[in-house]
Amino acid sequence: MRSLDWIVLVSSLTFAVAFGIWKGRGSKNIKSYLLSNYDMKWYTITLSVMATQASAITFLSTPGQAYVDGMRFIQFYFGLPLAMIILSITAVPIYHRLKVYTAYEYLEKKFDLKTRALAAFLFLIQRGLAAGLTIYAPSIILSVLFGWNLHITIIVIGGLVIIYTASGGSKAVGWTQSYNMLIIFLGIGTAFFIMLYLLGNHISFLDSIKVAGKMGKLNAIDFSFDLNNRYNIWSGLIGGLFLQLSYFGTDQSQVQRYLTGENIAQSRIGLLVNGIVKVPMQFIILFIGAMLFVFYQFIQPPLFFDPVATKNIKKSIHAEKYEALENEHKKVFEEKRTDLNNLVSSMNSDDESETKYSEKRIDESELKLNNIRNEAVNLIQKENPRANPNDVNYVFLTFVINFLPAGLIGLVLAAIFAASMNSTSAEINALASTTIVDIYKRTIKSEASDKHYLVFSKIATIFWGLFAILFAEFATRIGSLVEAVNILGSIFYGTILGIFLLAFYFKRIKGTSVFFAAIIAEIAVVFCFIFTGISFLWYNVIGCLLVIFIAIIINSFLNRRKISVQ
Amino acid sequence: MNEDIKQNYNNAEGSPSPFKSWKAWYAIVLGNLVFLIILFYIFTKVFQ
Repeated sequence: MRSLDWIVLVSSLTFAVAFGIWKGRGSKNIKSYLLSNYDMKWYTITLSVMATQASAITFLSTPGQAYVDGMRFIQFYFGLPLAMIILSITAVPIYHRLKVYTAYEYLEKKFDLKTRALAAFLFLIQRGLAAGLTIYAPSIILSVLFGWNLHITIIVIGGLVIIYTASGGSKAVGWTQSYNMLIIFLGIGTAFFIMLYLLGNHISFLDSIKVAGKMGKLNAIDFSFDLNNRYNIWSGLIGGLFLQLSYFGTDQSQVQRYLTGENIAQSRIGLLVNGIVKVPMQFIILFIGAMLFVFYQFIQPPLFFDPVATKNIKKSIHAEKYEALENEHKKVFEEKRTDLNNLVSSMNSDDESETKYSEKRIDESELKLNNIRNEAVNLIQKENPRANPNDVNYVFLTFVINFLPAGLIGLVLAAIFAASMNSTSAEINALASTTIVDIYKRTIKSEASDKHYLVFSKIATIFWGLFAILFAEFATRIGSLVEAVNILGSIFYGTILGIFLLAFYFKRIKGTSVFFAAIIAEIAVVFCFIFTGISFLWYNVIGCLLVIFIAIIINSFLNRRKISVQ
Repeated sequence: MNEDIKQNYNNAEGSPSPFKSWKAWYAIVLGNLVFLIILFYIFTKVFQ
């Protein structure tokens, strides 16, 4: 990084933090610290819910996801607009009219204390772990850039986030998210246009899309139905709907964002606009990954994108063998590049036989390149058995560092840091709210001054920040970060959603039935995760439906028992 | 008195601006999703 990058990065971060602290300085009581005094307009809510969901993981990992697996990940978001409509009709008016601080308060009003505590507990585990991953993502950047120890980097980044979050509160979170979204759009948009400009030296934009399509990276829609296929339109629409319903309807980090709306309409419009813009936004991010793939068909990519692992292997006893693999990789890459140029020419001249011949040659080269890569990964793991064989999270970063001009690297890094700070602060803020409102105030100390709860909210924020750091320390062997977060969420979300659907729509079901049904359903989902190959999006459906069916069965059993006793 | 209650209720609820009803909002969100799925499907088929 050059001086100009440092100036851009440091100025942007300093402004964001100072802006947050300045905006959050009026948070002198628990209501303004946790709910920003209900004064947010729809556009702030839209930006806030988008910023909370789109963490640094989204910008680091999603382009890499498209680079490796194509654009089929877009289907994961198809349930989101449907969820926004359902929540606008159901959850938003209920939460607003009851003036709750957390979503889980509603469960006690509807069922009982133990069901509220169980849902809050599941949220605290899941979101606490997810917050760890959102701290881990930007930590990779620093460890890559400076060769720092990743574990120490996590502690430093996490520590900075804790200070910012504890001092800001909900008001600061909402305002900085709006500013940071601007930086994010600017940073990612600039990186995309520079990539297209550089790609233009080798191939036209339309031909880039054709090449990406021919190489299977534009597989946006898949209508096949297969429970073990992670992303198809059915898992996206059905599984994704359940996941997004649970995330936006029951996860306090999101509920807290739209609870700050000045009325029901502002919260509703905020969510509905998110339902309109989220899918195209994700499409663009994935498209960047697909274009990055085309870019690296003409500019030779590294054999392995993780520079630290590459540096280590080059210092080891396997260095000679690794260098031989690099030379082989370079040779096959150049052959493939020639075939790609032939493919583009034959496609443009509608020469079908030449196109098929070039495709066949490219497939053969791809196979060879994959074999060379697998050998390289085996070598890296032989040298260090703890090394992560998945380098998807480094793909976008490698491009940014190697090809963006001075100043713009700083801007993209500022965008990634901004995204991470936004989502982490929203998460830690929500974790503190739930800990104080649903656990501490409700079960430990129900009578205390407002100042007491404000101080304890800040302590809870620090506690959850430290918890997130601890989890981040163990996250280094997780593959694609964006998938890891969603898999983790899916293990818990179905059960929590089932509890809330019972509360919204099943008037005769009692708290005890819901409580035991939720415990059984959660055990079943964990069983599916450990022992079956079922794709994670279906955990949301399984968990949710199990809670509802088991609660109905237990409830009817308890009712019969009650009648027979009478 | 009834007017005051109605006014307070309207302030708490708000209006579905710029439309007259929430149904119009829901139709736009749903229509946008259907449009995007069709668009992405064509995109997949044309370039595969």
